[in-house]
Amino acid sequence: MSAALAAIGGVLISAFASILAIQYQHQVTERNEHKRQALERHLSHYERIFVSARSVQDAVRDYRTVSDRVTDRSDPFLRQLLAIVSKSAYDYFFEVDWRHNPGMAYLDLKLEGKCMRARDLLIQWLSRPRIATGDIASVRVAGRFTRRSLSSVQSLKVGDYEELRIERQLLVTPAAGDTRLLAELDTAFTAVIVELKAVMAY
Amino acid sequence: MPSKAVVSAFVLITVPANRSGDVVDRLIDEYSEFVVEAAAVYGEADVIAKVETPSVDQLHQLVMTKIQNLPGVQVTRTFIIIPQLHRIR
Repeated sequence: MSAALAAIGGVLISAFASILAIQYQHQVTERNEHKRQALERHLSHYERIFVSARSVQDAVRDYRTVSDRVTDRSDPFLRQLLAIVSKSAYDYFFEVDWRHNPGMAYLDLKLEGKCMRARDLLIQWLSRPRIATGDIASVRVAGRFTRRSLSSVQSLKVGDYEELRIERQLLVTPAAGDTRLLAELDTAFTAVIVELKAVMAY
Repeated sequence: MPSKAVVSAFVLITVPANRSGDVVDRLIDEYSEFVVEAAAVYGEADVIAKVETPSVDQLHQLVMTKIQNLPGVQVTRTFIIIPQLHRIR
């Protein structure tokens, strides 16, 4: 009798376990189907986030490389690169806002968090002033211009130069903590790009 | 050549087109002690001023801390006059 009860109990447990497994399987299938449908419907939206994230990362890397190498902080190219970072950052901010990009509402929560972290780091980086004005002095002697420090101009005498040129220029100056923040930005955007790539390859 | 001045120079000033008049007025009004003439011109420079200072140090001071700091001034080019080759009719 007890053996029969034990057998029935065993059958019931295994049946219950099977039901649970089937239900779990069903949920997984439904979730995958939902993901697939969401992905198909929002693939173009995810692509927009992906492209904007790539643009920001490229722009930040270009700025970082040139900023580290440049000796003349008034180089217009550096200013141009800074403007490109700002422009691509604006595009990224736009794309990760669900009011402008409905794809964000269907993005995995963890990935959404990573997108937001990258955005916050970018805001933090952009909020620091980098443009300053400064005067640059140069003198022309025997037809050739030579850069002089402003303090040394005072010691110039009559006949030391043919022309004294003082030029007001916009300088791109690195802000404190830039190196760390730029590295963090790069890591954050790499994570966003890699995961979005995986989502789009789903 | 004026008796008091030791150093005379022409200063060619680059400013945005719509600021030339303001710069000419401010040069004459605020630095009349040193600025003998100032005029907006067509061509490479936007404003040309003739300045006379007691010393070359004061000329550099005038250009770097006063003229260069006038609103809108982007570039100043200073040419010191050679006294022996300076004629005024």
